[in-house]
Amino acid sequence: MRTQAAVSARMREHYTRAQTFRYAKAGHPAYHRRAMAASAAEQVPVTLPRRLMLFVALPLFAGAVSYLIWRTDVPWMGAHRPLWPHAPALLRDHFADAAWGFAVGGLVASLWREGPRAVRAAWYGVGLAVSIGVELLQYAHVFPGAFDAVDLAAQAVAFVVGVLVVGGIERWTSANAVA
Amino acid sequence: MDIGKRSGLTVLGLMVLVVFAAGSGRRRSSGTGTVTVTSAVATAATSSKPEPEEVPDPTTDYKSLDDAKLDGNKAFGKTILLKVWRGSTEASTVTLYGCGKLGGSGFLVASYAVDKRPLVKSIPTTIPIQGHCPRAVIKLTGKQDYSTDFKGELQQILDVTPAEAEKLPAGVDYVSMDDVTIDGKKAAGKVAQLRVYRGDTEEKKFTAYPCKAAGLHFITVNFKPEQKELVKGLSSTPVTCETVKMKLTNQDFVGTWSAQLMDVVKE
Repeated sequence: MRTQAAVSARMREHYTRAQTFRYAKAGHPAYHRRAMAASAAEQVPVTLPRRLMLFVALPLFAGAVSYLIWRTDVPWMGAHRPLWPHAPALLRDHFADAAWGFAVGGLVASLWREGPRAVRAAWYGVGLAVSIGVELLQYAHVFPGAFDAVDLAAQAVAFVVGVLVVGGIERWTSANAVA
Repeated sequence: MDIGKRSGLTVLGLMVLVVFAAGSGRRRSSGTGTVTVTSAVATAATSSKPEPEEVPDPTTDYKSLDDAKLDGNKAFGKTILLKVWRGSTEASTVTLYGCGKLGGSGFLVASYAVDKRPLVKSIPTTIPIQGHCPRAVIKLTGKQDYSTDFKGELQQILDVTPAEAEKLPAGVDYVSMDDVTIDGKKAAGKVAQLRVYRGDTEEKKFTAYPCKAAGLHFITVNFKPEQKELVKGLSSTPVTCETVKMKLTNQDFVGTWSAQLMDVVKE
């Protein structure tokens, strides 16, 4: 196993050098970008817990912090004076909803990067249904809160953005890991 | 990770996110124009009506503090309809915060007539998790001395029923911080039995924070050496508040009192 790993590593190094040489020889502007990206990808492997922290916990945290900045109440804390009381209504009213939708997209995309296409598609569908379903259940007075069409749109769009961002980063890190 | 394990993790994650959504304030906000009022209504004129009743929005000049602020001084003398929750409540003034989108995120200090006090006390002290914030009609009278926030006169409160007076145990004058703040300096020398949690603690005093009180309050409670163990046993988190009997000695500032510890009431 160790020998096989060493051979793989040597092949990878050889491939990287060959690519680097080719780019450098051709004066390709991607040379520096590739070299930097490969280095970064190797130094910080994007594991599942890191993905969940980055694409789920961080957006939720940002949504929670947004209450401190431009809302007059903080969940579970109660009333407070907002730091930016005159924030634009779009930020004040919909940022937290969008952050939550992004977190749902980030969760599904982080967990379903691979697997049978049909299963992945089904889970993406479930994720989207959850992200808009919560708002629709408010319309039916099943879920606490009040329905808002802009919230619904913000959550749906943020879900798609979350999926695309995680997918894009996945492709970027995979490509650089090979390079 | 196999598909089963991953599916389980996805379901768990989605459930956590849904619970987060249910518990957070983002779900408490009121929508724009889609709220159906189903709760009780009571105004100063109709406060004797105990039955819930649906009433349409009263006609006012503004429906958002932002709109009023944009009109500057021209807004003085005009009326505004807001969905509100309340902060500090004194004998004749109450700080009202706009709930969610209809009222924007601002606040104003409104004076109120004594006969409206039971209605004022019915306004929730945080944005309610279930149901909606009550509506209030306020006449804007000017701006605060040291800020650009409005002050006004509370004219009408809808969607609430008048609060009933609390039953007082023997030898106790107050069981809510609301009543202490409303009475102000008159409460000095009286006995309060309040649900509090313990903050900063020193050799002879500790800070008590009333639970579920409107606005920001704290009480500096002095205690005797023999009461040290009682103080030590008090909860220091708002999750588990305890009932403490104390004699109010001095109002240091609005909502800020000094008191002498009498006892911790076990329930």
